[in-house]
Formats: sequence, structure tokens, C-alpha cells
Amino acid sequence: MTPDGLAELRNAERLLDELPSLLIGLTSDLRVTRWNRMAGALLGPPAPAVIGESLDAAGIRWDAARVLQGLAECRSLGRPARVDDLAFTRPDGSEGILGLTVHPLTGEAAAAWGFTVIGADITERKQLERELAQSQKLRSIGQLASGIAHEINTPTQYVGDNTRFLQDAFADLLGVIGALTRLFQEARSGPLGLERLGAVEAALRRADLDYLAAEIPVAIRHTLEGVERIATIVRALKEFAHPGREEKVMADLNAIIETTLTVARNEWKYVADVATDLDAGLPPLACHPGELGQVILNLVVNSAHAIEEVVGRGTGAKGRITISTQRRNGWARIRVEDSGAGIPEAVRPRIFEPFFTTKPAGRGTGQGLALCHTVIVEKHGGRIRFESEAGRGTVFTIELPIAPEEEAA
Amino acid sequence: MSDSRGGAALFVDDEPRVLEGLQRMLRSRREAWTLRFAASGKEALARLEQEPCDVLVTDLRMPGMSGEELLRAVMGRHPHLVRIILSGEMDPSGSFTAVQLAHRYLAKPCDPDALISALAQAFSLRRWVEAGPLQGLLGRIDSLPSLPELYTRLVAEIQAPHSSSRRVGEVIARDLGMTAKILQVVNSAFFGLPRRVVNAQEAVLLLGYDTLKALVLSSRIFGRFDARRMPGLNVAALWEHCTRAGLFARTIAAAETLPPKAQDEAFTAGLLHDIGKLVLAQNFPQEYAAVLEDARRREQPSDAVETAYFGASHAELGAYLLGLWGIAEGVVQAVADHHRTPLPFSGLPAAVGAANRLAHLLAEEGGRSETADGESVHGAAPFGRWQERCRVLLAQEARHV
Repeated sequence: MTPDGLAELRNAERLLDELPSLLIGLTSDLRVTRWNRMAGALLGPPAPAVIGESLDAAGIRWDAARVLQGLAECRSLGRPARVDDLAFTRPDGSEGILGLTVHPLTGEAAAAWGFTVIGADITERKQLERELAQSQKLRSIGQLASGIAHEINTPTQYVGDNTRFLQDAFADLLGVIGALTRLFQEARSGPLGLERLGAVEAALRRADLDYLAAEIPVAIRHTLEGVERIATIVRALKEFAHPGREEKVMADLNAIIETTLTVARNEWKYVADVATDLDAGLPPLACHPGELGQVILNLVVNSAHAIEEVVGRGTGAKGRITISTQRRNGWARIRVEDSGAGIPEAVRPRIFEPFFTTKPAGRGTGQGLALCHTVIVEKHGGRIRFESEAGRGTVFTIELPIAPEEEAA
Repeated sequence: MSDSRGGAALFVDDEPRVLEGLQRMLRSRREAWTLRFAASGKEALARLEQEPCDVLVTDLRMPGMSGEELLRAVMGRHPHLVRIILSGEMDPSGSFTAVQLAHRYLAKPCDPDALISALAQAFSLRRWVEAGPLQGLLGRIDSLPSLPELYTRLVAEIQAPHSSSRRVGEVIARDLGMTAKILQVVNSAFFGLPRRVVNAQEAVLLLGYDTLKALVLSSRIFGRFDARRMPGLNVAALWEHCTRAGLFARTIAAAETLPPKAQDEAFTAGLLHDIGKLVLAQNFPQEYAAVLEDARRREQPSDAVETAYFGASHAELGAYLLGLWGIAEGVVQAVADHHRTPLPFSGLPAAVGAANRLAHLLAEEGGRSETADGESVHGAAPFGRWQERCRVLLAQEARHV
């Protein structure tokens, strides 16, 4: 090697060391050949201690199984493999999240096979993403708040009124029972005068027993139903607002849809009838329930707006929103169909772009469908598409893998 | 409609259970009141064509005709119907135009007693109208003033479930002119506070909600009248007079050891007692100017001349308006009676009537604080005492400025 070549090599070494990302070189039998400064800073042992060692002997505290899985995938497919959201422990004991990519390295000889692992500490970004998702959810709850209050205040009104009626009715009934009790006592102690009977009859008339007999059961039923209605809304709100966890959890897609429809009821009920056709055979899904709820919410609110364009505001006419779920060859399919105005041909290619909106200010920020796309495609490995016909309506179809881990294996 | 029944109300709501619940809840009044129910604005309008009604109670958010549209239609077709909103809207300022079209806003869920008393008050307004003094006059008035926006916001904030004096103070503080007026009143010698209040929040705490509401209501109503269009009435002088009457009435109520709530009501009534004058001056500018001129020339009290011209005086008209807005019944009665107050002292109406006279009297004195006591025809013992008290406070105030 020429002196110039040597200097160049040293420069390259320094450059790799100065990289703000971690860089690990591995042989095909997973011995460490390269370990830059950032790798040492993030994972613990400095370069001299690990170079030449086997990767699993290097004492790295990370989810080793997933790293091995990524290496295996890279080797078998011969192309880069990603190891996302990898939990690891820093030298100081703090927990973090790494994002890694494993690249295959092919030398001239088969023996020169190996890997380059490049990655970065993405803990902070993950945190921000989570906060953003939560703040987006809180914002939509804020937008829903007045509708939800309306949904709660209405049953509260009739629960209160019916309860007051029951209170009054009970007092009336007690009056009647009192009169009857006195009547019995007098009947026991001697013959009754006609005027006594007349007084009891009058008390009975005053109480209007026929009315009470007919109305009290209805009042009780409405009260119980009203309380149940309020409880349902509060429960749904609690579920909807629950801050999602970092990892996916098993959840019932149908329940997520029902919850969202309950929370958003006031947004659609004046313009549309909503029908659901939910496949009871859908298995629980590993997912982020809060984010899927947000997706459903965005689609339903969009549908309501599109229908309002057709039927007009405050005309009393209503359109239709149909939500169905189906299990299809390892995929859970959700369809949200509306009889709204449809999406104009010209804007169709752009609807998933962030900040793209055709709605007037205050009705949409242009983030709804972009968020849907991110959540479905990036976070759940699913698909989202739509068909639309101007003047007839739009159908959004979402497909989510039922068991992504098993599929991938 | 002048039969002996208590009144007829029409309830409109798209949720049938709300209507059924109201019907059951109001059953205890079935003998006194006629209650009708409609499931939509359209149905309500049709029913009103068939059967006259005294009060309309409507929801806002309804499919088809909204509450706002219904209120607007009713204003045109049945202007003398008392219009009440009963809505589950969380933020009434969001539906503000609708609120402006109604006389009162009740939030769902509304306590049964509050609803019953609102209805009772609305029905009681018939006493002014049917075969009453306002029968002819109301027909000639195009529009009564609507409730001021800031007032409605204030009431909404006070009624809100998480209301606090801090948030109520913020509503006021956003309005600089209003803040200045309120601070001026709270720092007046009549409130006798040991130190100067400098911010709206603190003023809210010290004044209490009722006093605050009265101040906002009166200052907004006064502010809305275009003085140039009312040649006969010196609006600035009237505002000055009403503010004093409010302070005097409160002072008298306190001197007579009325409970704090009655002291607040005395203040409210004093502040608002001449509101009927503004309505007369606005609706009949030339005619009313002539009436006032006539009263001056003949040295007669204005209310007597008003009654001769219009069939009713500003006192009854003002009371009717305050009743429409759901101001406390005691205040309404005191405003109605402020020219025929019986002495000796008989509670709130007497305090307000006396305050009114005192405000006129002391204004004529023109601040001559050395005037001897009790030389007037009102020289009855309590009146002289009140006069002295108010004069001393006025003098203190003059020194402050």
C-alpha cells in the first residue's frame, strides 16, 4: 500500500469513528470486525475489548434474539433487514430504543461474507412520536368534547326529570296507602260511613292511579336506560382517551369500532344513519387500539362531512355510513362506506399527503388521512385504499395482518 | 287567553325521551299549567298557529329546523311569546346567535326546580300584559333589547360545571371598558373596602356574582343605546343616576340589616330601575321626548305622564323586560314599584324606591354636603337617616376623586 493509500485508510477509519450512528462490522460467523466509537458509547464495551470476539460474547445488553433474527433474514434474503424498536440498556443502566439496519457484505470470495450493522438511538424520537400521537388524540377529544357533552347532557336531563316524577308519584302513592290504611283500621273497629269511602275514593282519583300505573314503569325504564347511555359514553370515552402503550396489545377490532362510534355519535347523528356489520369471528389483533380508533374516527368524521355536503346542513335529510369487518385469508378487513359527495378525481392522488385538505378552515387540518396512512401502513403493516364515485360516495378499505409475526416467520 | 289558568308552554326537542321526562316531571303542575310538546321546529310552528301559547322552551341542535331557525321564525310570527332555550350545548357562546334570539338560556341538565321557577316567572309576566298596563304598549314596540353578549357569556361561565371566580374574572378582564367600570364601582366609598381593588379577579370575589351580573347587564344595555337618537333623554346622566341608585339601595338595605342576598338584589334593582326609559326612548324617540318635556313643564313625575301617554310607565316596562330575562323576582317587583314605594320601610322595594328618590334629591343638592338633614317632605325617620348616610358616603367619594 502506498503512503497515500495508508493515509486515506486512516481518514476513512476516523470518519467511521466520528459517525453519529453506531456501526458494527461482522463476519459471517458473527465475529466483530469493526466497532465504531458510537457503538462503544451506546452498547458499553469499547472497540479493543470486542474486536475479534463473537457478538454474543461481547456482553451487549439488547434483545439479542431479534438481532439474530434480523441477521438471519439478511443472510437468507441477501438484502438489508430492519430491526426496528429494539430495546437495549445503555452502559449507565438506562433503557433505550435502537433502530438498526443489517446490510449484507459480499466479498469476492464466499468466505468474505459478512454484515454491517448500522443504527442509532431513537429513544427520543420514539418518545416524541408517542407524544405527538397522544396530543393528536387529545386534540380530537377536544374537538369531540362539546358533542360528547351534548350526548351526556341529554340523557341526564330526562333521568333527572323522570326521577323527580317518581319522587312526586311516590308521595302521591304514599297518600293513597295512608288513606287505605286508615280505612282498614276503621273497618276493623266498626261499620264504615259512606263519607269515609268517599274520601278514600277522592284520594284515589287525585292520585290518578291509572296514569301512575302506566307511567311509573316507563319512567323507571327511561331512567335506567338513560343512566346506561351515560355510562356507555363515559366508558367509551375512557377507552378512547387511554394513552396507548409502546408495544402492541391484543385487542378486539369490533369493540374499537363500537367505542369510536359511541364517542363520535354527535358528529354523525344529525346527517347520517350508521349501520355496522361486524364479523363476530374476527380474532383479537395485535395492534395499537388507540391509534386504530383514531383512524376509524377520522374516516367516520370525513364520511359525515361528505354526506353533509350532499344532504345540506340542518335539512333533516340523512345519508348512510356502513362499517363492516371481515376476516379474509389472514387479514382483518374494515370497510367504511358512505353515501357522501365522493372525492373529486383531481384530488384523489393527494388525499394521504400530510396537510392536504379541501375542507374550509376549521373543519379539517389535512392531517386526518395522512395519520390514517401512517398508522395503518407503517405501524401495523397493513393496507389502506379507497374507491370513490363523485355524487355516490366513498369506500375506504383497511386491511390489517391478523398475525404479522407468524406470517413473517 | 285571559282565563284563570296559569299559562301555556310549548316544549320542543328532537329527543322524545326528553319531552316525556319533562311531561312527567311537570305533572305536579298539570292543574295550573297547559303543557304542549313538539318533536321538531316545524311541528312547533304548526301548533303555535293553532293554539296560542305563552312560553316556548326549545332545544338548539335538532335535525331539520334548528332551534335557532325556530326562534327566529317565532320572533317574527309570535313576538310576545317568551322564548327560552333548554340546550345540552356545552358552550353556549358557540351558538351565540341563537342565544341572542331567546330571552333565557337554561343548560341541560336543568334542575327541575329551576325549570319550574323559570316557567312560573315567564307565566307571571302575563300580569303586565293581559288586561294589564303593557297590553297596548308591547304591541307598538318593535323589539325589546336582547341580552348583551358579555352578560350571556358571564352567566354561562358561572353556570359551567367547573366554574371558578378566576375564570369568571377572566371573562371580565378581557373587556377593558367593563373592567374599568367594575373597578370604579367596587372601589366606591359605598362598598367601604379597606384598600383599592386593582384587578377584575379580585373585584369578582368582592362583588359576588349577582352584583357583577347586574353591573355587566346595566352597563351593556346603556352602552347599546345611541344617545344621539334619543333627544329627550340624557343617557349619561341617567347612567350616573342609576349607578348611584344602585349604591344607595345597597347601602340602605345594609343599614336595615337585610340579608346579603337582598343587599345584592337591592343593588341590582337600583342599577336597573330605569331601564324601561331606555326602551321607551329607543322605540318612540320623538314621542318620548315630548312626554318628558311635558312632565317637566307641568312639574309632574315622569311615570304619571308616561302612563297617560303609553298606558304604562317605564317602571312596568322595565320590570317586564327584567322578568323576561329571568332576573330575580324580587328585583323585578322592586323595579315595577319604584315609584310607589310605601314608607315606612318594607324591605327591598322600599330600599329601591328610597334610593331612587335620594339619588334625585342629592343630585339636585349638587354635592352641597353641608345641607341640613331631613328638610324634605320625606323627612320620615328612616329616610332622613338613609339620606345622611348616603350624603356622607358621597362626600367621601368626592374627596377620593
